[in-house]
Amino acid sequence: MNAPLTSGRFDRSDRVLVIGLGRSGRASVEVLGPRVAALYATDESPRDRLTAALADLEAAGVPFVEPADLAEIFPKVTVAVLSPGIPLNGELVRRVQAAGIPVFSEVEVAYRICKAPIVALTGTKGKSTTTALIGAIFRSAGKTTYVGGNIGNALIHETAIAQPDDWVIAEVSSFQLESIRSFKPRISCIINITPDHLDRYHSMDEYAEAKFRIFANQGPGDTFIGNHDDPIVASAVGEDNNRIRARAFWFAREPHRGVTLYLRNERTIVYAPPTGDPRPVEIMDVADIPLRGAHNVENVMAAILVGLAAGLDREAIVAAVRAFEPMHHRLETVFDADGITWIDDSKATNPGAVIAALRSFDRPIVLIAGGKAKGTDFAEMGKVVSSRTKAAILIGESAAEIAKHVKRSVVALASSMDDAVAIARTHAVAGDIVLLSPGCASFDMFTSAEARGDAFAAAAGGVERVR
Amino acid sequence: MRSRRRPAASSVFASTQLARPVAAGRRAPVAPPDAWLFATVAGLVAIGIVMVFSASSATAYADYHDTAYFLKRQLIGLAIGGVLAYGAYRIDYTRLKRISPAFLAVTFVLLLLTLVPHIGLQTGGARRWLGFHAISFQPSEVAKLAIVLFVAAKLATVGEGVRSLVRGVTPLLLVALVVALPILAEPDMGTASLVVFTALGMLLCAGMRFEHLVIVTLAMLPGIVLTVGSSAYKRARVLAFLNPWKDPENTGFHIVQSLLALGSGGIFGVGLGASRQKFFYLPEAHTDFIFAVIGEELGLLGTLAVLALFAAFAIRAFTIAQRTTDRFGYFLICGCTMLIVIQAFINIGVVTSSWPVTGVPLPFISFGSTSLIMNLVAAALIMNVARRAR
Repeated sequence: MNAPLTSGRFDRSDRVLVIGLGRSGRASVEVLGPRVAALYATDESPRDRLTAALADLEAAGVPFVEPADLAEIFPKVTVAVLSPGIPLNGELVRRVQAAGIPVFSEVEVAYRICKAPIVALTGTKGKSTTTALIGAIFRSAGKTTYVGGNIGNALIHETAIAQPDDWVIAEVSSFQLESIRSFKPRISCIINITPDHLDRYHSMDEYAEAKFRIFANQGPGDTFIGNHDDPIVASAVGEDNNRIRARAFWFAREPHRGVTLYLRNERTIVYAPPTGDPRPVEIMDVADIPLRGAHNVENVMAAILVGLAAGLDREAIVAAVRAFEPMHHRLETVFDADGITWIDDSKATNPGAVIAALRSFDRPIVLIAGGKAKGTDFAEMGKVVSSRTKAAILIGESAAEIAKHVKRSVVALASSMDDAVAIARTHAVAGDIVLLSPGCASFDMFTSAEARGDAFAAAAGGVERVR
Repeated sequence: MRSRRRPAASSVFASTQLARPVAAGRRAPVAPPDAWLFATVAGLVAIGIVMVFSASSATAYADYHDTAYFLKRQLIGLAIGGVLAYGAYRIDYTRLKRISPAFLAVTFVLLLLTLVPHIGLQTGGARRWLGFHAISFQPSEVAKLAIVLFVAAKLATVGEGVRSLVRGVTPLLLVALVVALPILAEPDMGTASLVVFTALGMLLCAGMRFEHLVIVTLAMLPGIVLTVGSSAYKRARVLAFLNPWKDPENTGFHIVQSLLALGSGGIFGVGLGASRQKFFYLPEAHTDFIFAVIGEELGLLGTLAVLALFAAFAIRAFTIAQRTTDRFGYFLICGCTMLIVIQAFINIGVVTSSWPVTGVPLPFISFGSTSLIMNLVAAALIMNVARRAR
């Protein structure tokens, strides 16, 4: 325990070790370099995979330390920064901790150097869309806004430049939340918690607990926003109703008591102000939301409530929602010909997202699904696929596993995306939808979910739409 | 009555209440009350004490051989009111939410008791008082506050339900009407209508729909016509308001004397204590018609000053309501403020012949211990909620 207790301010008093040289780790090196007294970097990956990263380090004048040689620099290091990909209970991290060096995640460091208030959002699905929408809402209200986290930039890039009057909108994953210490967003938001990442967590409870850390450090001056319709999110209040110390606002599809944002007659989003004049205010019609699907109504409600909680102007919020462009590879229409609509939902990487996608259409669906499974259970998805699709074309490693759970629909196995699209074409007639909503990761066949979506669009004929 | 333990949805609700935990408990020094509210109430009470003495001295000497008889009684009321108001200012007002149904029930029983011969005391043809003559009080004055507390507690949790005629509006209005009935039977049409108006006003504050206001008003219209038409005395009063000069010796007497008092005051008034109307011309000079004496002695400037104080009080109270952090507090401020302001509006309306003659005291000013005490308590509750507003 030789580390001083005052470490972790990430100023001249700290000498920092960055563990892992992925995107996040390199961002940490870049941002922290000019701030701290000394910086070291390490990574367990084989040398040949690190060529680009090492070149960057060299340019920045940051020494790379082989994992085997770490013990030599431990006495000099006051604090370590961990990239999201590296397991907390891995051997490398244990060695660092055993040397008495506190280990912080990138998101924790980003928080510590941040001058601006942070909106932190987490959830199982719809995070990226909602985070982007919140960013659009804050910009529409005239705030200088930085959006980061899981989507786009590493959060530390954004928080390093944000000024006190600006806002940082951060998408944070349960992995990132696991290793936070003092991370304290001004507004935290959980949009939903469904079974996912069970390859990493032992149980649903453990997964939910990781998500709940988002409000763990919040106090009465902060705000928590939750989805009241999601039973796991709603359980965040704790058994004695005292777990959330921030003021809590809830959104729901029905006007329950104590819900701040809800739907009136399933048509209009209504805000019931929790302070001052309590008369409900109509915010906007559901019909004016440019995003498809019932789950997107919830995402939009979450974003609106974040905006209202931040005290933004109602008109600016509504204008931003109306003008919002749907995210790529999220229920994106990529091609439309002969009455058949081709929809790319390649970023649906868990069964819950597939269920949500299937439920957002009322036309016959030909589904293309499958990929690299993450240890999730396809039984629930199988039921919805059976009841909502006329055919299910399955690809990738998990194809056989998914096929076991599909009962009534036609099931076909395909070897490639081109093959899958060709089979889909034989089943679809005018008026149908061909939906790529894999419910699995892409890494067995593609480099990314984006590449998978692009391959689908290209095969379908929407080549000009492929960016 | 709904059970106190509620399932998940309401446990979620509790956390949105924003009620700050009362830090450090009793040791914490109590913040001074809102300066604007305190000053306007103090101003009105001060005018009241002076004017009650001035307006009542003649009657007091004639009846009790003590010109300060009513002044003394009013000062006792002020002392009791001050103590109770301090209590109302100090308590954790959120606790009132839970006891409000019981409080209303007790008040209702007391109201019924006033109607029982030998228990309810009778003066001037009306049974309004309980107790012995030296220490008597008017349950109807307490009922006004009880209904505000009850309606505020219900509206705090009604949410979207206030848009429903069946689930939101009607049950609350029915409670108000049931409470108003024994008051109407005393008879005290003024206070009875005040109870209903205040409940209606609070429903509007909660977001009641305009169509429902129209429906409710139309539904109550036959009742109003029936009540007014039922007795010759009420009918005569309403008709007298339409044209008081038709029968100035009899049914129009109150109003005509009141208008004479206001008119003879002019802009600057005849001077404090110099009213002639209070010498047995103007009935109820120190109670319901005290505003006319203010107009006669202090002139238009005096009456405008009173109006300005009420306006400042109402504006300040509603401004604070916008900053409340819990819904019960919001409706408590709205209800208490409307109680006081509607009452002032009706009283001044009667005195200036803009409203049918109904016996309603001018808040803080008219003689009447129970009324003064309850108005002070209502004002203290507003200041109590204001303490916790942002």
